[in-house]
Amino acid sequence: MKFQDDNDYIGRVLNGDVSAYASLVAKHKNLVFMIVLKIVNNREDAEEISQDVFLKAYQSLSTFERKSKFSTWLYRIAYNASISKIRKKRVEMVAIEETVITNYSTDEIGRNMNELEENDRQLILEKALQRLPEEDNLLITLFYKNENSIEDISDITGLSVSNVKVRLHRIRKKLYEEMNGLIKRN
Amino acid sequence: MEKEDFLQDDLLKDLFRNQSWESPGDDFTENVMEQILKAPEVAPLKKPFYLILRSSWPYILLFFVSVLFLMTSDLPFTDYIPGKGFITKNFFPYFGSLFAEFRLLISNVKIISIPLMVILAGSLLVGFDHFLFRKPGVRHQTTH
Repeated sequence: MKFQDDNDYIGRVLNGDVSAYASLVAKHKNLVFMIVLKIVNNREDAEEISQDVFLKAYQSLSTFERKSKFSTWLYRIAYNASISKIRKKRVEMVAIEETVITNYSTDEIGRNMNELEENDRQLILEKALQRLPEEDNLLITLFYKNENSIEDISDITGLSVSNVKVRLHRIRKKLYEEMNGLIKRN
Repeated sequence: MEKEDFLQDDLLKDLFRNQSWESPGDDFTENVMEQILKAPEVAPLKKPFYLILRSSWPYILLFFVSVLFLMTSDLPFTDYIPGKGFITKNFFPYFGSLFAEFRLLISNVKIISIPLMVILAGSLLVGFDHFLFRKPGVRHQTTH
């Protein structure tokens, strides 16, 4: 399905064409759902929260100032809603020490991964991602899968640009460490 | 924006690119739209500037009349308004006479000048507060 520019839909919704919002939902639902799911880690909760995110975004649409992209604004709502949901049961994450990440080289892991079938590669990636703290899982997915810029991720999460850089650097190392462990176990 | 060099990673990019997307249920969009159509307060719109002006004209009028009055009156506290003499002389020579009778009335009753001053200042503050800090107007749309 081909979608128009977000601002076209927003203009139509603000002018009373409620049905135009369905296109915005259809366009962004997968990524909103992915963001929420990465954090809450439960499909049913993620679906419910994602619906609330779109409802909230609709009700606040007039406050969207178009200084940032609509998607960034929407993902920030999704991120905040998910974080609020898990805040109570959230365990304080232990900072990943640089010294923990040792005894592997990315080239070696790359070679080992390339020897595997695509399904196995994806399985290892999925398992390694699941071992990361929820927020880290989201950050690295936004960066490498959705190809969001550091600035976009900073806008979505409220973290500073430098903090996003540092965290991505560490998460990447941690992800390699997890993949390395999984490859060796297989 | 260029991605950070130290985060460039072809292996991860390749892995993530081939990763399947998690999708919500097929009826997700319908469910969202159903909720939206049920919601009574949908899509509050920003009030256009001309509508703000239109509903604010009493305050704007009050402001200008107050300024005019203060500039042209000879109440004691108005002497401290900077540029009053210049404006009265050059811009409001005619308006001065509009308040002449009122000026006579209050200048003969010295005792009311201070309460009047307080009332005027208070009214102005209330007017400003109401004009500047009132809740933004919200226009509700019907959804059916």
